[in-house]
Amino acid sequence: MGLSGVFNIASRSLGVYQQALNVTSNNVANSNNADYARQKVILGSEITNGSEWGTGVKIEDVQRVKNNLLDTQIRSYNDKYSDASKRAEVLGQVEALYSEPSDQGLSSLITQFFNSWDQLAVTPNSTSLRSNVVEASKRMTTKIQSAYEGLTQIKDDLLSQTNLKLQELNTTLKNVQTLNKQIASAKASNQSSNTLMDSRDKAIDSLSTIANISVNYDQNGSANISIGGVFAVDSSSSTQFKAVNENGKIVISNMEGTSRPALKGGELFALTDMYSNTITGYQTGLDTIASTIMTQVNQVHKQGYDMSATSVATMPNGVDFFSAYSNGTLQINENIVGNTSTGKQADLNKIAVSISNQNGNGTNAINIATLANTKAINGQTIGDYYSTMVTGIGTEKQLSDQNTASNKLVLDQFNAQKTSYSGVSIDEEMTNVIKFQRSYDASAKLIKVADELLQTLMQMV
Amino acid sequence: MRISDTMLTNSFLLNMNNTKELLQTTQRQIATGSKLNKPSDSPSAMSRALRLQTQISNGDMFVQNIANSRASLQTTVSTMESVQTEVQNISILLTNANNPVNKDNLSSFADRIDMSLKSLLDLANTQFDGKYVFGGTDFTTKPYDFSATTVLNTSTNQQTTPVMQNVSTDGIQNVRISTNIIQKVNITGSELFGNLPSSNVNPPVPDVTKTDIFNTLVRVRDGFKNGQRASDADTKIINDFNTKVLDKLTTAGQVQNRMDFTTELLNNQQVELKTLLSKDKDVDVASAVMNLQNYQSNLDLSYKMSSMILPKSLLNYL
Repeated sequence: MGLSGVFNIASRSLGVYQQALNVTSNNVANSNNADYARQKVILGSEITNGSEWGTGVKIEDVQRVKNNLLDTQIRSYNDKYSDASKRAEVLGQVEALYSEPSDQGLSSLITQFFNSWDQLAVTPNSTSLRSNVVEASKRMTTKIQSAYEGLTQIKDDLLSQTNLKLQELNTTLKNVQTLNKQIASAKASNQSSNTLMDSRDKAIDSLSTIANISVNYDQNGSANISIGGVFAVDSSSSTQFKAVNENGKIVISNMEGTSRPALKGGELFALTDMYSNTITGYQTGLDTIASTIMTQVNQVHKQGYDMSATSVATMPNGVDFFSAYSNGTLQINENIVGNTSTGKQADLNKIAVSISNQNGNGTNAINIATLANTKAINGQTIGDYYSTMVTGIGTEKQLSDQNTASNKLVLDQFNAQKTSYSGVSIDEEMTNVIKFQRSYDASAKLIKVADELLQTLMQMV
Repeated sequence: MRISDTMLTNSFLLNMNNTKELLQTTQRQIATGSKLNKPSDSPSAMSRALRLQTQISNGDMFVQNIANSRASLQTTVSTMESVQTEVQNISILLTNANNPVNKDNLSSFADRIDMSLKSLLDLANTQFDGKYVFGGTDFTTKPYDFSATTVLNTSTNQQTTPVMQNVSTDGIQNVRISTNIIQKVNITGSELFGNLPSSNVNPPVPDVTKTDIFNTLVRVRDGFKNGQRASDADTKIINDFNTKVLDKLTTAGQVQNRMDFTTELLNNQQVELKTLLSKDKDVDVASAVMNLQNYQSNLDLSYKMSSMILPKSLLNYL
């Protein structure tokens, strides 16, 4: 083989270490890229053809350092975490709507409403106390209305967020399909697909925050994904999803409407479930409170006499105090508060405080005030029912916060493990740089030595 | 374990964020003075707080109701005291009239009885805050007045004007002074003065033979005018009325006492409830400030440490 063998081996290793330095510099360049998995140069010796000493070094592989088990774990916690954190976020908005515990909260406004009747009972013919009752009622109904409208607003937000998330989901699914194809063809032509795989992992990670997915890799390296039991993507096709409004509930299905994924995690689950069940439930709670107040107060109010009553024989002439309730709006009878649009005059004397024809009788007002202690809703007083509801929201929010925190803790652990495994360490890369540089130097030196050997030989001639 | 650069920054950020969260929570608690700012801060404390707030607000209302009705009750009591003084004057007058020395100037007694009658009538129509205190639950109609028509007094054979009531005065004013106690807070006109002929009947039937205090005084006055002494029956009516006034004064006094007692009870209750609420709501500022300082120094430490570690790598030594 002779001296040329030294040239061959040395020049090959110059190339190998240059390549190795390239990989290292790529690692350093991507050290702050969260989705990047560090790459490792695997050196191997060149296959020898009967030569005793070998024919030098070659790059066996540029390996992408990645732990697939960790990825699976991270994805399964991603959907739990994003579900819980979305819920916590929305419930934070919900509990702010009730402004409890403060003087502006519905609890204290309901108490003020009933207390205003008690106060009126002391001086039943007082105009200022009568208008106090109307003002207290208005404050209460306004609060019910604003809370109800706030909840509706949140539902609208949830719906539009759902549609945005679906768009993101659909785009990502298409993206994954394209990457699947590219990775398969790169594999077939024996090219490096490391960068493509980084991109695909990133896409799958983002899918896992949207919904509960399960991922399988086939022998071509293509990732086959299903969402809640419904096929989502492989290398040849991808499903597109849409939101359907069904009896006031949002349901996710494929475009054809033939199959519906069973969501149980991810932001999409939080959004649709909060819309369909949680928030609607809170609205029903407000409905129950308002309509109970309406029927209870009206029932008693009707048995009273207003200020115009002159004779007991005219029978109770009280009107309904509240005229109607729907969708958060509890209306006070326009015969009492007037109506600016129809020009109807307010008449506080219509408030039926008395149970006789005398204007100093306050017994009916006392009867209305004691409704606050009546167990009118499922064995609970109106105040207790409301308090249970608000406490329920608080508990739900606290639970979501705790779930968010605990899932985040686990995710942080896994992510730390992932970066420990796949993340770039500058120290390590710099050590590699020195190592490869030294080898490069040595190879160059070898060429020089071989050259000198050759020269020595030439001078002999 | 292999340590990559991202790990160092991530764990630094994570821990710093945790410390900052604690800091923010403590800071908010100190700033608002309340550790219960939203339901999720503590759902169980929340449900207690709502209940306590309702009870406190009810208590305030009851105290206010009592104060309001006590003022009108006070007027009732002082009016009844004046009524009693007047009735005692009348009794003395009647005793004097029985003295044979005064036999010839009984008509001057008639004038004095007439004055007493008018001032009694005036007292019976006493108003407090726009309402007639003896008018039952009718606040607008003046309860007692002389009849518009005169009738013939059969015993003296002269025309006279009896006293009538314009409304039924037996309405009871009820006020809720605690969750389960509804208290009658007025002395009704019919309780004190009895039932007079009503001017509401059409046509009115004035009647001087009635045994109420007003029409008895009318009879006595008319008798004096005619030189007749008050009959034993009428004297008894007047003395009985005196006893009745005393009796009603006692009743009103008892109601006042009960109200005072309830107010005191309510006030004590309010203090207790507010203490309980404070336990759930208020921040122990001293310990919160201690915590704040603790978190603050933690944060300082982690800044210091990270500023030492994060910028360093092998590069610094090559």
